[in-house]
Amino acid sequence: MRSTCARPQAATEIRCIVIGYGNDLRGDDAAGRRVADAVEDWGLPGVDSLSVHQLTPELADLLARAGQAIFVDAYPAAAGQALQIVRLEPHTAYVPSPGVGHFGDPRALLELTAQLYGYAPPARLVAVPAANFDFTEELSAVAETGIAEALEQIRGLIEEEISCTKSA
Amino acid sequence: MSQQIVIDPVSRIEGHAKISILLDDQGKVQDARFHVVEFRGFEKFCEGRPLGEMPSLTGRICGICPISHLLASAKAGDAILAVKIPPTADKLRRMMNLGQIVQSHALSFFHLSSPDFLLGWDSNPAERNVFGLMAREPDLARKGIRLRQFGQEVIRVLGGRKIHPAWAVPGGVRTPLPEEGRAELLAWIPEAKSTTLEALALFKSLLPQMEREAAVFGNFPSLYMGLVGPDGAWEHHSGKLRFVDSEGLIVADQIDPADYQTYIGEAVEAHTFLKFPYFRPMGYPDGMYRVGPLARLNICEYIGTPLANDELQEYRGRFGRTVNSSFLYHYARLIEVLAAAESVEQLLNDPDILSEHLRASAGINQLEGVGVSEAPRGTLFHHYTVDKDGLIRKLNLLIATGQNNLAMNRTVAQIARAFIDGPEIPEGVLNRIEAGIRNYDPCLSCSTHAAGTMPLQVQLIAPDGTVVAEARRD
Repeated sequence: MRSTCARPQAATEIRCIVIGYGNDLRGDDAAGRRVADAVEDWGLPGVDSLSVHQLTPELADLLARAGQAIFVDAYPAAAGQALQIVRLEPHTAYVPSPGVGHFGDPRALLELTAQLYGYAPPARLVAVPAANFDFTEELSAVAETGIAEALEQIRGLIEEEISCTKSA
Repeated sequence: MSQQIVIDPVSRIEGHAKISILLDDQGKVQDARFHVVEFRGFEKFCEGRPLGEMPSLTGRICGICPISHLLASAKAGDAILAVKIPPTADKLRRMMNLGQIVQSHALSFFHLSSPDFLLGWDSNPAERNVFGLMAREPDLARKGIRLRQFGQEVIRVLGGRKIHPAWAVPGGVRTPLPEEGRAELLAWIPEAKSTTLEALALFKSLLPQMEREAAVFGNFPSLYMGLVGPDGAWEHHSGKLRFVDSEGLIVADQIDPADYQTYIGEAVEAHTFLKFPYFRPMGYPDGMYRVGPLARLNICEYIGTPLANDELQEYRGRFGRTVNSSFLYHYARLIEVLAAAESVEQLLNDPDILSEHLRASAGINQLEGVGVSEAPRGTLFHHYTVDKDGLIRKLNLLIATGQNNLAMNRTVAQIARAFIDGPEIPEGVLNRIEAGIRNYDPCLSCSTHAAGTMPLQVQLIAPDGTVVAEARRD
């Protein structure tokens, strides 16, 4: 992914925030949270990593203080589908209409952050391929592979952010 | 020809659900059914797990009300160990439950329900969400986020994590309240109380324009159930069960939660995975009862904190000693947030609150135990049977949303009768039916996964299964 170093000057006390979300009793849905737990174990300075069940509004307060945000979630992949990394833009269109339970879309959360605090960080979604959402704490081989690849990619994104910070 | 309207799925509640509205031959609403099609399997999943794992495991049922499961599970474990936990451990568990009530009620009021009040049920659904609240009341929206953060910070300070802390265990709790955490939370209390009072003032100012909704959004007689203290005080963690009727008459009182099956039966209907608990002495379905904020305020004599008790008296002055409209769950929720903030303050100032004597140790002394806690949505029961090694043999979870199931069905039918006349399904009617369900802030997911967006689909179905009309909102 091409580096832009486009982080606004408004940022921030947290260089990078990683938010992995999902239900860790529902098989591969735990993928995002496993990734977030692993990033936390790295103990990188300036990097916050959160493992959460669902995206909820108060996360906006943390996002408003971050230079970069990386959301990590599982997605139901067809056979052969790989890890996906996509840029996210704040957008109200992704507010569930009129809203689905306590589940939130990261783009809506970014929009909430921008509207409430006047700034939202550049953000990406790392989507980990998943094959099984049944009641289990075990991961499928598809998710295990995806998690390893996700961690490799996220390390690169964090290093890129740190590089941007140093050159700013 | 009778017809059936299906709203599928209900939005802005936890999990997957749909509503069917049954019309008679004249196109009038005959009945309504609230279907839950996703909740399943968790009790089986827990069989064979060690008792000590259960608080942490059941706490992960849900990301919004994990503490309720954590505490009810730990209390079931206390019963199986047959121990009385140290007083400070009990106070700390209470404090964590209060934090849970604050954060969950704040989410329900500020982010899920207030857009309905502020923008109206006939407004564009694309704008009737938390962004609508921000446009109308940006400062209150920020304060709402801060209030929810306060509740979560109570949980984090005690348990080390905001979500799913493995902190409460059979016999007590793992770690004490740190001194710096106590100071941090005490400093936050004035803001939490101020925000709640502001939200209460806003809600009260909107009441005159919501009179019709208050009259038909679940306004009917039923029983109410929850925990009360020995003198009938508002309670959320300890105490005994009380049932009152729609006139406020106490029909059963000071019931040991371990005897819940004497008083509560669980009926099953083929169209839903959600059971239908009922007050057993009155039979099914006449024994319909409601739980949660509305019920807790109806069953209690008073609230043991000054600001919340003043609000309770004003609430009763407006609507009577026993309030039967489910629309007023929202009002009751805010009074409970105030009670919780004040109660946290009282506990933080307790001289023993920093004690490190927090856990009683024992082996398996009983093969069966019941734990109960007031979840934000209502009374939650965990009932375990174990073998001599402490492995779970049988598990029954009686969740708050299930106990409101009969009332939710009745609410949908009442709203439909008031707003549907024939096969037309105006947008505002769908909104009102959904809002009627949201009164109860149901938490159906408890382990479901919401992948992507869930469209709102409405179908008008003839008895032969033909879809004669359909509306969809993505």
